[in-house]
Amino acid sequence: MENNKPFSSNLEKDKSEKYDSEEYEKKVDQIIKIIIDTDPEGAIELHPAKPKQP
Amino acid sequence: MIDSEHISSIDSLIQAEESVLETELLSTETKQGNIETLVADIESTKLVLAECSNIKPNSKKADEILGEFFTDCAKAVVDEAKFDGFIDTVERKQIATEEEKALIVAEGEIATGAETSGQHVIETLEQFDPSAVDLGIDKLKNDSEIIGADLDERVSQIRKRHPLDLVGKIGDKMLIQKIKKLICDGSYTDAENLINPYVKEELWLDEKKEFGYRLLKLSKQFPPEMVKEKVDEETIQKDGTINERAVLEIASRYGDTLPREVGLDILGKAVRCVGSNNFRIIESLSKTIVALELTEEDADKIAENLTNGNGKNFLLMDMLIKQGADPTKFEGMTKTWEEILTKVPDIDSMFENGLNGITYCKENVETLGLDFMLNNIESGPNLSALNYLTNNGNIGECKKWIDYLHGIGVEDGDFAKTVFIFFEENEKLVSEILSAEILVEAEKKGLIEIISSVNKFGVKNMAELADLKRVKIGYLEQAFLDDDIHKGKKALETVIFGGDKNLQITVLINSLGIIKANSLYIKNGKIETKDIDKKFIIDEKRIEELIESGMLDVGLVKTIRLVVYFRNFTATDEKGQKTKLLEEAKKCIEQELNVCIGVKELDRRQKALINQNYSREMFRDNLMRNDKKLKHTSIEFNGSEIPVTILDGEPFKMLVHKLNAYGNNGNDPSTWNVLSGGRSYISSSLISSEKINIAGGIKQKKGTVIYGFTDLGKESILQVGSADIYTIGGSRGKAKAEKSLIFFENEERVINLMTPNELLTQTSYGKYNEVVLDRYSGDLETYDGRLQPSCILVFGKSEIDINDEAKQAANYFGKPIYLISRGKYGK
Repeated sequence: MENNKPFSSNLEKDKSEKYDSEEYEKKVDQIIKIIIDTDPEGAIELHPAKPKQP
Repeated sequence: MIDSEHISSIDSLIQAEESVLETELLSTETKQGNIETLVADIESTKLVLAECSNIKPNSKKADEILGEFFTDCAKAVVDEAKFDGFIDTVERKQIATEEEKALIVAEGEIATGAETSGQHVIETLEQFDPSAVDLGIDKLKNDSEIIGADLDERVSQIRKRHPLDLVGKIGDKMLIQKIKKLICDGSYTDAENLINPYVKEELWLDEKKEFGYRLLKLSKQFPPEMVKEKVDEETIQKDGTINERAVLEIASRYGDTLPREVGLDILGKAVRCVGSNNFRIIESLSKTIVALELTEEDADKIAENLTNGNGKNFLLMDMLIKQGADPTKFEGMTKTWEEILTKVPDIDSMFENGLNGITYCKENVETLGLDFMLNNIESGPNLSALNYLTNNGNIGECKKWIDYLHGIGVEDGDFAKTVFIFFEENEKLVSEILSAEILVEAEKKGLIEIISSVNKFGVKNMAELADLKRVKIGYLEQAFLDDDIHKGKKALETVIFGGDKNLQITVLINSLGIIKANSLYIKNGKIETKDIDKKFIIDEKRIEELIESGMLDVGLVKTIRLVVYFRNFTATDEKGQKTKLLEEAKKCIEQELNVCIGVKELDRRQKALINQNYSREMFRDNLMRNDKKLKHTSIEFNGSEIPVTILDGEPFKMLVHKLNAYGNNGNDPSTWNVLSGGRSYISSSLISSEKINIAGGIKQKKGTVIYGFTDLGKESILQVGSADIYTIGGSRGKAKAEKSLIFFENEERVINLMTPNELLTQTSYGKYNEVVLDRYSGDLETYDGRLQPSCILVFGKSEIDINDEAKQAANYFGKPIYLISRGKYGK
């Protein structure tokens, strides 16, 4: 068996990038709030009516 | 013979003409009479096409009509003398080093703002190509696209300019005639070179693919002798000498698709012809060797030719040695190349991972380190920048910069793939940073951000680095001032979603099939609407379905809605939307609400969800052990017991891969885990109990071994298509595959995400689908992270049909054999 890794170490580093889902969700919510504050009409797109239940 | 491809080709030609017409209409030098003639010309061609669409392809009538068209084209009156300069310039694509260097210097100056007009470029071009002046190169002076371009776009804008694009002397109509004539003559490259500056890139790409397809069809439909005759006709000149250019053209463009007999012949000729173009052609040739399944004798024959060739042909040498050619024929291979060959796991990734850079900038191996070059230098702009730095003796400084970034904790990743461009374009800023004793936190943070975006926001000094928010707002405001709506959209995407050029957000969301697709098309790998004002409409029903099937979660939907919200910014600026959006984006910048990492995560989570979905659907022996129908037995091989599971009508889904699918590794299972078997991707097909025969090769030939994959990694599936997506050892589409989960259908059309059932349904009868698996499993403990098959499949009636090759493979991998009773399943 040869000691070759199929991919460069970069991919592994990239994959290990940390992601804080809580912080991210918070950011998304903040952006949504900005949109709602600035353009309530346009922000409707962000809250579409729920599809009808069968 | 006239067929639908010809018709389609004509269609593309008309499109090209229309585009030319557009250009012509813009030209102040064009006379009204010319336009009228041109319109009439296009109209008559359209009529021909319309007629053709109503008649049966290959019919006599089609022959007559299209024959007339070509006759008409052939009648085109072309003042060849006027084109001498053009063709000469085209042929000099390989500009001599000094000339190229001069151009790069000029480009560099313009890109960094040292020059504010195109004047310097004109002077530089004049120096090495006086004919360019005659061709109207002084139009650059008024080239608003160059002068008005962002600094970082100027180089690419200038590179797009070709003296041909600056036509002044030759009328556009004449050019059309010339193009037609060249196409009629089959001189597609010349036609391409002439047409390229004129037509939109995507139009020409279609045209090019069309020709490739034609040849492919040609090679499959016609007897090899006939194709060989055609190839000879084009490559052997009247005096018996070989037309090198024609050989290179055919070998590089069609090498992989030519029948074996012709392929070998053309390969031999090409090897003899390799000159300055050799590197461009080698990739195709090496693939050709694989595709042709050369014998040792063939390999030796080509090796003999190679000994007289250029030393850079080491890739071919390597391939040939693997084919059985005598290594002593390649004496003189340098130590460096040997070292490279031992380090790079597969031949395809050599091209992808910096071999171009190493070839052209060998002297940098010592300074930058072989690993850095192999892993980070790709062809394209970064390589051009490396060339520029090398030629200017700046590579030592650049190395200091790389060390500095490593020193402050910046890891290679994307930064290294653009480091030379960054260094070249931001030399002053880099120098300021390198002389600063220590960076304050804000500066460091700013630096890290601009590195990943290659300073898209145009930070010029340390003060701006420390106040990146201001710079970003300025960048956004500037973009919104522009009448070109794309600039505003692009800037919005950059500041809100990070602007990672490799992460195509719209592609990402569309791969889920949640955007109603009636107006979508692909442009430069991105999904766009044809009508800029057309909004992306989210398909709510699809979202609900995806959530229900576990493909999507509510958190991801929120991000998708945001992307679509910003994407739907329209050119008409209804109700002051532009102003509101700018305000929103500015607030986002103020509050540092860049959700780049989140979008990347969206990509990863989506991959995970899809992989989970496929994994869940795969056949699991252990789950079915209680099923009375499932029979288990075992067979003996070289003293080992190999478990055998007999599928006798039970439902199943599996991904299958035929060993040897890409060529010539033989049936030796151990090649799976060594250098020669180490291609980056595995091309597999999804089969099921209802469709066991769609993998094409399930009509199991004697000695064929089929690997089954039911245990997938979390990110194993990279691409899915309901037909062949033409991965050549997975190399094609690789960059895209690495960065995000994209679903192609023959690369042309974007398709919606397909569940395993949808994929099977959409796979045509008698055809096979393609599921590209990442060879990297993520489990470094097992064979350095190489994905291993889960089982060996045998299609037959009983254990007697299990051949030794299958037993050997099962034994090597320590996996069971699944014996699928052919008679119990449909096709």
